[in-house]
Amino acid sequence: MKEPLLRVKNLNAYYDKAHILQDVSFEVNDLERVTILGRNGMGKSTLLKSILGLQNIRRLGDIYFEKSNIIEQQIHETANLGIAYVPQGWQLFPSLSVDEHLKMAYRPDPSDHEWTPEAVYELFPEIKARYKVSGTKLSGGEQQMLAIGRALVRNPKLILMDEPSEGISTFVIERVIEVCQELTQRKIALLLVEQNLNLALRAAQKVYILVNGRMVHQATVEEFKEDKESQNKYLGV
Amino acid sequence: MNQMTKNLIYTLGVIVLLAIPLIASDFLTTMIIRIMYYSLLAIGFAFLAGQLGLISLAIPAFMAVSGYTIGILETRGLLSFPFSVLAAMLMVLVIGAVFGIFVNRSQGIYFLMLTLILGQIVWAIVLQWASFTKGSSGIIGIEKPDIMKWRLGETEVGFYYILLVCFILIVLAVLALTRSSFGLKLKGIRESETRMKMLGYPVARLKWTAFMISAFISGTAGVFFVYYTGVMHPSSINLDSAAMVLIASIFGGVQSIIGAILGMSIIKTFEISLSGLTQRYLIIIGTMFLLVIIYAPKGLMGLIYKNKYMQSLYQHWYRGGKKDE
Repeated sequence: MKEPLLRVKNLNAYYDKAHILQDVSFEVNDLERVTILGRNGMGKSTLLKSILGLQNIRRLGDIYFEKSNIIEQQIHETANLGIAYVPQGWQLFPSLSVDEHLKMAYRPDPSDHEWTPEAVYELFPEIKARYKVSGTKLSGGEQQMLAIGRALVRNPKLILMDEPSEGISTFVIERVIEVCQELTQRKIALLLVEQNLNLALRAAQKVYILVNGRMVHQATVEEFKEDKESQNKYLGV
Repeated sequence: MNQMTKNLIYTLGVIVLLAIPLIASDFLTTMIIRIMYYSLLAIGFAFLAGQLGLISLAIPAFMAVSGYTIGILETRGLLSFPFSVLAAMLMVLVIGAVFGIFVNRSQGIYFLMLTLILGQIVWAIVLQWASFTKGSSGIIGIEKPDIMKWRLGETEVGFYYILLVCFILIVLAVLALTRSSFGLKLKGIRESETRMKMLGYPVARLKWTAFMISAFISGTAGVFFVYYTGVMHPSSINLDSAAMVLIASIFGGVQSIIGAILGMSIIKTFEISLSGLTQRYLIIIGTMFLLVIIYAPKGLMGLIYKNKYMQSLYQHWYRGGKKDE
């Protein structure tokens, strides 16, 4: 069988002494869209951050990205291997305009499915109209689009997306779902952490459930949609 | 204002600057020369402060490195111009690289404290290591190279023109840098190092490069300083001079290179003209500084940029012609 794009094996993560993630293992295959579900405070965001090595998270275990173990790597090295991150709360730069965000983050890629700043504007005409505005002066939805655009122009192999539904309108949520679905055609895999079940199940193909820092369940989206019992048990839907 | 009038104004400005040593008095020429080389220090400072938000007090230390290298090499007959200048700038880059490693991981107040310490170390070395640097008596008798003594008619203009060309080139280069993608990355780092790492940028290396650029600019100031005054003395690189660079840059507006130059020009003009009238001139400069801090916290340039036309000029210089909304 083909090696998965991202393979996390027995990952433990700690904030100081608090043991957040406990022996988490999961896989994201090439071009696959995976979502990690779970209630508040189960360690979903921590999981994304510990893949990159953000903040002061102490990590133990193995994280393989395209066969190389990235757990000891610096954040920027990991990011340059082809992992882009769309953080919760967008984390844009106040002093850079929309255009400057995209130009700065743009990393050319010779392939035919390259994302350029122009391609992002085509995808999100809303932010094109406001290309001179400072990143943090946009509306919530526009900031989300810019954060996604900023990840796309890195031309990554995998996008980590943290709670994209937070603070945006249902209309923009629809747009985000469309973009997520389109990623596969553009040769990008997705690892999505989300509380909005509707968004997660429509955007992804595979579901993992995280409860109290442990992976407790794995299913395809089709299975999970039918499985009302698990939905109730793990998510209280 | 159309392109032609703009070009006309730039050309006029350059002509005036070119004509100064020929038409103006020696006093005015001297003043402009001093403003220019001290402005180079302010540019080195403002580049770091404006792009990265880092306040460096080690700026005069790099002036010391280049000035002392030239002084020691030339007075001992080891190397002469232009090789002494090359050696000096190389030395600045080496010391800048080493200092850069020390200060690289720090931010805000810690960066300020570290650069203060490094600056003071350089000052202490040149003061204490008397066998090498002549200590508190300073190195004297450094001669201008012949090319800087070049005369046009009666007046010696070589030094002035070389300084003017270097000054304009450095200003243009720094303005271009602030607009380049490198400048954008530095701005990104100023706002959040983690976000930049997340995007895959080697933050430490970018900061280190910026620190070296700032060191290089400050080093050029040392070259002109040492040739113009002919003296290299510990008092010209002490904490007072670091404070002067800081005050002048904040006075003019630390967010902009032009502001730093303006601030240095005003401080130096007042210092030179007032010190002839009264010994208490620092009180007047201090009061002015106080007023600027209270009424124009972004410095004089911040005040000027509130004007609509100047705002568009600012956009042109710093953002490549784009406008904010």
